[in-house]
Amino acid sequence: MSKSRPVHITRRVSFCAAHRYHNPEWSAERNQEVFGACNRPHGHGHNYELEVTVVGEVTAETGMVLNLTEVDAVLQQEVVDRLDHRHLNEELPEWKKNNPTTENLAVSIWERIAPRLQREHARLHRVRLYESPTLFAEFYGENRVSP
Amino acid sequence: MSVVYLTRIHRFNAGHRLFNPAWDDARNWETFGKCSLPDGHGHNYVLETTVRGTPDPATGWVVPPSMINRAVEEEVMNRLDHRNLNRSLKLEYGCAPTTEVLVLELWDALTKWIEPPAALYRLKVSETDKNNFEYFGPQSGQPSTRH
Repeated sequence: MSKSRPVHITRRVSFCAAHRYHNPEWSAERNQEVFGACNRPHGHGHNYELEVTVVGEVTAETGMVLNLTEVDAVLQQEVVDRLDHRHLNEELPEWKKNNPTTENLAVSIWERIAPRLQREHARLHRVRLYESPTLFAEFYGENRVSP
Repeated sequence: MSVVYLTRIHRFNAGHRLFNPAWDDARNWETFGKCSLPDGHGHNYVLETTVRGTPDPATGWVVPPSMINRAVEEEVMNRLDHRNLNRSLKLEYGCAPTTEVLVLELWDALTKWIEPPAALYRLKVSETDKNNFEYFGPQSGQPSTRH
């Protein structure tokens, strides 16, 4: 039986954005109680750090799983160009109603980049999004859990 | 039985040039960009070696830390530190000394040094603080991205 040798490659990219947590169906008091400082009306911001991991077999003629310039282009277009220096609730339609929490952002980034990083021999493995150095959320795709 | 993962970190510095000798300069430039400039360049690599096992009741160790140190000294420091990876690697997994190819070769070199019942679990090589490459060892079965 032949062996596979899957290598995980991780690329890190940064962006800065503002957000606010608010549920319009709740009273002001309840929003304040649940979301605390994150509910203040004009929002606040974070320096986000995104780590994207692709797993796949190494292509012999390049020695690579996936050329990092291809990963960079996808992250630039789908993440940095869309989110960097934006107010997420105010400027992006998908966050008009839903809260742009770190969890929700991780899933939304997965959905945008996974199809563009899919190859015959490689696929997106994990999205890890740091909201700050002390808090991050990870997503491994629909119906997948941490290995 | 308590399975514990022990990780030791080592740093080394090496040069490399990424190119496929079977390709012309234009195609190498298109694929590898600046990494293919003829005189090469270098990185400060960080190697994380993770060993999996159960602490020995007599010592409390998964493995003696010296076991990992000796392996890395012999296989990484003596062979690769302050050297040119194009010359020092076997390049059996790919034509160029990418970090994917490096992590696969390091697994083959280091795994035999970890004495049972402990075993090498993961190698992680950071090429810069913006990218890293992880390998959990060969998987049985046909090459695929599942693991």
